[in-house]
Amino acid sequence: MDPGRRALTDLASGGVLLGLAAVGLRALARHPDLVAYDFGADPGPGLLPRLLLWALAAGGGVLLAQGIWTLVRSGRPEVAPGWGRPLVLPALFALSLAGYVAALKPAGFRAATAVFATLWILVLTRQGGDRLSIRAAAGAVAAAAGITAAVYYVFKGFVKVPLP
Amino acid sequence: MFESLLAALVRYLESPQSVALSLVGVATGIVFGALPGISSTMSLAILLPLTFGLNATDAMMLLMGVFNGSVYGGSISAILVNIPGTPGSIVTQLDGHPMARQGRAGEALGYATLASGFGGLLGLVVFMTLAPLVALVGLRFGSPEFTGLALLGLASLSAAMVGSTFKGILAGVLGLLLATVGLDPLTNVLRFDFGTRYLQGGIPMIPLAIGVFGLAEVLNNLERGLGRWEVIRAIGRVIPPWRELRRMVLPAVRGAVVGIIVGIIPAAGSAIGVGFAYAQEKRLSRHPEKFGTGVPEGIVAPESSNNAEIGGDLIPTMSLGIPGDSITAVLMGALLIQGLRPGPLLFKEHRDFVAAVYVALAVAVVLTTVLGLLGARLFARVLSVPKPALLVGIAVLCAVGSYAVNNSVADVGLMLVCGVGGYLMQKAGFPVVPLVFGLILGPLFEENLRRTLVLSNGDWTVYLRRPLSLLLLLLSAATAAYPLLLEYRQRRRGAAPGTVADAAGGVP
Repeated sequence: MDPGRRALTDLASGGVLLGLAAVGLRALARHPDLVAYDFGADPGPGLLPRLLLWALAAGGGVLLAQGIWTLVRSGRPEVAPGWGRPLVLPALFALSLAGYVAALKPAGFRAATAVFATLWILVLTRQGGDRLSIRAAAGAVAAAAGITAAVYYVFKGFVKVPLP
Repeated sequence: MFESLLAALVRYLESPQSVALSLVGVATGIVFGALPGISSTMSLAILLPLTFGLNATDAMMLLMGVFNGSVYGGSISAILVNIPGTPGSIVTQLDGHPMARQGRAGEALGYATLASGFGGLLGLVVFMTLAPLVALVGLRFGSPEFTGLALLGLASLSAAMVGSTFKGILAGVLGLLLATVGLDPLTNVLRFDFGTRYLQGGIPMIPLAIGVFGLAEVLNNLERGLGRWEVIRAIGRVIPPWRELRRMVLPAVRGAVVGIIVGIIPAAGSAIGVGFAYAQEKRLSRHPEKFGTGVPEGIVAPESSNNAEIGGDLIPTMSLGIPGDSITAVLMGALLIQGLRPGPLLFKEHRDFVAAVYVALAVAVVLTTVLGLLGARLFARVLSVPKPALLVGIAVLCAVGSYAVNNSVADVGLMLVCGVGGYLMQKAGFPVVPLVFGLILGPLFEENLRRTLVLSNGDWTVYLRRPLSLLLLLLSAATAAYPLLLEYRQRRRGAAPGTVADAAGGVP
């Protein structure tokens, strides 16, 4: 990983950890039960979360400091051009999966899965370097139907899951 | 115990469902293991929801089949494609693929299959012998010792993340923190629920595991690209010559011993075991220069080690409740769903179930060997499955598997968040396995930590006054500190932190 990218990664992950720790510590500080009760010899349900949150904050601080140190040492951060391009496909996939999850109840498992699977098999076939032809489209529809049917019958028939 | 074992075997043979489940488990495990990009942990995580409708024994039949089958299956792609199907077959390709290129692909598969079976059986024998003894010792443990043990499990795992120990520790801390979400079992106080009913029950382990091991890997595969694999199609004879096979007994034994020892160490990981086994065989060989050109010892030792490790992994998992690696962590999740908590009490209160686990592993080892030898050509064809359909199918399985936990779309949402989170963690250099370990070990750690303090009236020095507890704490501290010091020294020298193979002793 180039120094610029490493610095940005450290800064981002340090920031996220510090943010998480801040949210958690604030929630603990405002927790009515933890403030009001005395748990006797038991250090109470706040002890471990508090220790862990401070550990996260310390770790986040170290990463943040490391990121800043790398930036200071290497001058302006130089990130290789196009480094984010490979992330586009996973990001789109995750977003469409969120859409698929949202569509499960209203559209039903079979329709939502068939559409999601057909579209993505087509997209990934194209990404893999193959041309989109009628044969490829028919193959995608058949594969999507196979996936939908197999998962539906295994989970509905065998595991007895009431799929939407 | 022998009677329980015999009864479990008879019950298995009398139940067509159990036989079918172990067959399906092994076959699916081999297929998934053979596909590059699908690890054994991922296979187990995405197939685990299939056990929800089963009793605990049948669930183990399926899962042990998947476990053993997928660990072996990794060797198929290592030999035929030169890409390890699972991390455990990372060195099998060094001699397996050259042998396949010489027109002896079937023989290479045969060596891998027989060595896997041999190692698996030896691991099983050691598991059956040592696990009850360790559980007996575990029964004498008090709360301070269990606190130390949980800490040691987490420390070992973070230390095993060579090159990212610091981030591994932070991931473990995050996992422990996630385990504190929801109702505190000792005081019934709600923590970090942020006013939502969903979080009151805590973070469910299965959707999280499916997300970080399943969906995150799909996203990783999408990022790596969708190129085709170049598969060697000519298989040839599968059973190696008898004279050669006899010569392979000692390498198989040595590999298995390494695998079992590495498996027993919590969180050491299969890649380390196979690396050591390969390096050891090369050191002992009269012709070390031939390693890497297609010598059978280069396949037999790591493959025997790989499958023997399963028995080793299961010893701390079943007898102490400390997962041996990420695969057994998922397996532990399956047991928890069945209402069984692995640990010393399991051996005292559920002897029949423990016997069923032994039978499940034994059956899985035998079936893997038989199916591996008979179906070598068939499993090789699996590598022709188009990647797009495979990845989309796994994503759908991840979604439906998470839904099946509680018939809840919210669990699918959690799986999605964890999958994306796990993917981003890996991009930022954070290993995800300690996160899952933290979530599993969190309740054990907190409960015993607080119980100790209650019993000692809040006196923390109790941990230092009990010799075993002190020893476990010192071991945990040393285990976590050693790789950090090593990384620091390497950085000062200007070298990059070592890889697993380097740590294993110079695998080329």
